[in-house]
Amino acid sequence: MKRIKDPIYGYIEIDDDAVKIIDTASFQRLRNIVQTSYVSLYPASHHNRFIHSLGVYHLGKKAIRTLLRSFKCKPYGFTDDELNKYVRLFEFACLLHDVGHAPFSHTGENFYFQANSNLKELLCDCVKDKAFEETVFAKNSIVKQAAAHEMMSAIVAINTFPRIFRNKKDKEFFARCITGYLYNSVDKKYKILDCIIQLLNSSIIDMDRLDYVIRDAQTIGFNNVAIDIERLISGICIIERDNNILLGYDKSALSVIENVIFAHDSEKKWIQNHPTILYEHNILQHGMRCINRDYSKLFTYQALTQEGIAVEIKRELDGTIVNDNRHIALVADNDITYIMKYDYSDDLLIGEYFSREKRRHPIWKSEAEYRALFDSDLGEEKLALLESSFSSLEKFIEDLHVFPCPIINNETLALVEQQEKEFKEKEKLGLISDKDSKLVSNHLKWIRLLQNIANENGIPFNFVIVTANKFQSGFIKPDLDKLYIDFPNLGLSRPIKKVSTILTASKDREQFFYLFCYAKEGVKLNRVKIADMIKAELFTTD
Amino acid sequence: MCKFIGIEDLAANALIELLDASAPMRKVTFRQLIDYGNVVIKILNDESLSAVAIYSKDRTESLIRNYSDFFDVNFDEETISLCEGKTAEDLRIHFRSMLTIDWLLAFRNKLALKVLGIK
Repeated sequence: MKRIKDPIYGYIEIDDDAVKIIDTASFQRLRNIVQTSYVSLYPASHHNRFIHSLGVYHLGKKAIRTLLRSFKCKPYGFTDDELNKYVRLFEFACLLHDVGHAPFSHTGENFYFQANSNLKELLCDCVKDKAFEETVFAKNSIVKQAAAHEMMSAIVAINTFPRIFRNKKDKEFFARCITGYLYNSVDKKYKILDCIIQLLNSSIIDMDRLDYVIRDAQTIGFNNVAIDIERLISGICIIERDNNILLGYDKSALSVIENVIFAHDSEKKWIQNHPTILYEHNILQHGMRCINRDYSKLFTYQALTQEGIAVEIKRELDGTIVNDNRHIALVADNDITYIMKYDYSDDLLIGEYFSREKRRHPIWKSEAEYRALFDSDLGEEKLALLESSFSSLEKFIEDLHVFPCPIINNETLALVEQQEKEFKEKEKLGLISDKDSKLVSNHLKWIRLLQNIANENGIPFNFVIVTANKFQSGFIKPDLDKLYIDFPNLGLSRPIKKVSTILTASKDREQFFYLFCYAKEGVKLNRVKIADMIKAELFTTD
Repeated sequence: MCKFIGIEDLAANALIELLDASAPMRKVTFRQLIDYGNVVIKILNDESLSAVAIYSKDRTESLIRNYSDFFDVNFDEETISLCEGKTAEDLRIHFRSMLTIDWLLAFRNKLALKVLGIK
């Protein structure tokens, strides 16, 4: 048994089997995967997936022991040996739930799907269980598929630590814990196992979210809500109603659940949506797109292992194509920044990652400023049109250049004009409709307006659009209907939505955008005038 | 360069084609979307345009959160429908205008439309 000092929980106790896992290269890799992308705004937020995984392990052990109290009254058909086995597997799942995370966490995640086109098959090959395969490939998998990092974590864990598992059913349960794929069986035993799975992987509240909400707030210094972990975990219970068995919380935990949702809301609203953080995320994504294009196999499963993989590199350098090979293993954040620094030093956008002097700045600096400039003057319809236009433009220009380049400048303008010609040609051939053909003209209108804005304000015609999600509270999530609160003194349980007096956010437009540009010495941007120019464009007739 | 196609992109483009068809439909099944997505991805990859479909519960949550005025997801029937009052033109403006010509042609390819039952 080891005890590790933790600023949030005091001490985290780790049993000998877990210590052996933690000491491996695969787990130690997590020391080099940042937990959040907040460091550009909050320099102290340097915590990583390593300590977060230990935190989830700690909470998971507490949570499952609380749940086990229910089994003393009613075993639900489990023997003691069976229960011990599932508890052990659940604890390992908590420890290893992020072991396959991509560099820079969620920023790099989608590249897993591209580099490992058969990620679901890889996962099922590890587990080798028919029932699990049926879940993964079910029709509704299009809407309930596990995230890439979840699948990759299950794959890495099962392949790297085979001694944890005695048979394929063990692997199945473990994989379900990490991916969140429920059994959804009528069998009571499986319903109980689904309750255990949801302790780690749930859409509303689970031990993973609990740790990162608390840890993120503490490292940032944004402690706006007190979360009583002990009260929450001690309230975990199994609720039986309408022939169903659900994971629920005692009424005493209701206030803490609300606080967790408040805390997560605060993080989403004031931190995740901050333009500085969004812009840095944008730069990193651009960097990773460049790397992914030139470094085949960097985001494959093999690159995450200790054995690693030979990565072929093919990129343009001073007008010639360079071919090279490198061996990459246990790929982490530092590999990405190394490659960005040395192989893409001439990329202007990537250059902004390493030097703030060269960085663009947002014209409006928060969702609140955006709303002040645009919401009150435009009706709902015009506002939706504006937001949709810029969101579409952001995505349209990504695909235009031979090399990824999300910048709006003269070169982009020329490429969009070329696209307009190609659209018209295809329309003449009957391959697309006139309605589709007209869509490009809209992009040209906005690009030319931005050119005009640059000219009138004496700044370079060089913009980056970053779309941001407007804040929506976790209190209006549809899944809140599925979270039950138990009132044992009343002998009943109810969905949290029916018993909590929380205010729900009003239904509103869902996305807005930031516009970034270079500052020019001596030039003070007239933000209101720029917003007026954009708004005016919405009312011009074509 | 790899493009990530989400469920909202597939649903929107499928529904545009279904609405423009001779027998307009406002609903598409999950099965149809998976098959449509597979064909579109294959067409793009054959054209050396790297594309990946991203289906995940996070993406679905994003669809429901960001586009609930466009789409109604019925998990029991396993369908995605266009909300009342929304038209193909609305879908075009919000979801199709981000497509360059190569991508648009892939979404409108005959093989892809065949999967949706459009001749």
